[in-house]
Amino acid sequence: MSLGQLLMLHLMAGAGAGVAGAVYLTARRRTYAALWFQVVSALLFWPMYLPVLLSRQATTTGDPETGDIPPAAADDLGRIIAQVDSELDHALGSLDGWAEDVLARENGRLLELRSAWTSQAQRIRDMDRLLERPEYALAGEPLALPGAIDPGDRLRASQEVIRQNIERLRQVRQRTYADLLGTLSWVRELASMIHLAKFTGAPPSRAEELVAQIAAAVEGLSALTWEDDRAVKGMDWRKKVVVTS
Amino acid sequence: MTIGVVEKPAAPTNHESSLEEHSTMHLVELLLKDESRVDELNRVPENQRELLPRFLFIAQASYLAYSLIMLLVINLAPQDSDPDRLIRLPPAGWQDGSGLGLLLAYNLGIVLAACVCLPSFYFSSLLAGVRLTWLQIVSLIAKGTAANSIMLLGILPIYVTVVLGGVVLAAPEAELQWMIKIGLMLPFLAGLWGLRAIYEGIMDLHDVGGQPDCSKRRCFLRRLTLSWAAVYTAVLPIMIYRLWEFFALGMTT
Repeated sequence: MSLGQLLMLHLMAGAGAGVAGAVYLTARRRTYAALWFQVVSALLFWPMYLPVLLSRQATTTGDPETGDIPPAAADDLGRIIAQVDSELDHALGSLDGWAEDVLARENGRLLELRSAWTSQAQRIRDMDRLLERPEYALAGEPLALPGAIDPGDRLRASQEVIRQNIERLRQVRQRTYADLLGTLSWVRELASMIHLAKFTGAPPSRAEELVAQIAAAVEGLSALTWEDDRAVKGMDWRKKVVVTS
Repeated sequence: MTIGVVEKPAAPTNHESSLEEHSTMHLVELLLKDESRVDELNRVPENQRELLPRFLFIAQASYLAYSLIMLLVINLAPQDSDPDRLIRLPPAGWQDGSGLGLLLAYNLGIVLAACVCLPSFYFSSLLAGVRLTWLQIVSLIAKGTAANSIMLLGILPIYVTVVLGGVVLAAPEAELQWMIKIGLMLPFLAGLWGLRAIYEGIMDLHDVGGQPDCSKRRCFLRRLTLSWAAVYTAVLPIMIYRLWEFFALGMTT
């Protein structure tokens, strides 16, 4: 074996061992057999596992390219969501051996609820960014027309519509924020009720009821989305009427 | 509380996120019966991390069964006595341990060839303007390999019946040698099913990504998948043959 081949082999083995080690440290431990299969296959087929490890890192650190902010983002909203998420995790974790069946049943809806929080927080951030733009921050200001040109009724009406729309957007932002905080508070309350129910010897059906209520929060959010869509459509329609009149 | 906003499509739906319900055996069943459901599961990044080892497990288990049967077939058939044959197979005997070379060559070669081709898959899709992440490509290839291996297991009983018939009825040596070679090529035949699975996966990502549905684009994606298959088909036989030769000779010396 030549020195070049030996070095190549050494590098490949090192990369395989590195990826296998990382897989061992980051893998979800379901069963030991599954874990060891992952580690051994990562050692042999490390190029397949490398993207998995890298994407895991991308998820936890956020993606600067797309502007995605992870749940534990550095802003207040992200911190609140992370805190409630952790409290919910703790409460659901305490169901083990008591009412774990309900978790398997509601797992899908709970995941959906969590991603709904993240989406809603992202939506609020997007609205904030939009409202901070100079053209919207100064909404209602008349257009800077050259000389002493009279803007006329049509332009003034248009300006008024823009101002009203921005004002409406501010209200939407405020209410979205309040709704999100309301949902998060409700989930915190329910999480604390799960702990209370467990230590006061409540029957498993009580836990099931509480988890179902938490999971049902996502349905409320979905219903609100529809309301929001209708509100936006209403705004579009009104705008068209003003413009064409 | 009348106005709230949730971007539902961005969130994994109840249907999409329920990977926990699926055991590996159920995944095999889905690959056969409801491939669109597998694509649905495989499109969620969180699921891709869970699915990759399972796809690999399915592929490895199936190829282990396949290579064991091929080893049995090779040892049942009379030895190739023609020294002038165009392609001479490396040894695969029970006694001297060279048969292990065949097992390792297929089990390692199938996935290692995909690993070798991954950069080419990734860069060709980027050059073609298809916005697939490396992870998406890996999960598509892994799904294709798993689908391919399941189809291989489906074909295998028919093949074994034919070859055993040849052995029992004392078919001429040359014919049996051809049958063995056809058997060794079965993964390529079954690979067409894997190719289809990869194509379906790409189209699923394309459709869900909200790309405009234009027939020209679809045709282009079909060509991209075919070019991937061509690269893989060129690399795989060489990889298997070299590994088999390497391990078999290593065992016998």
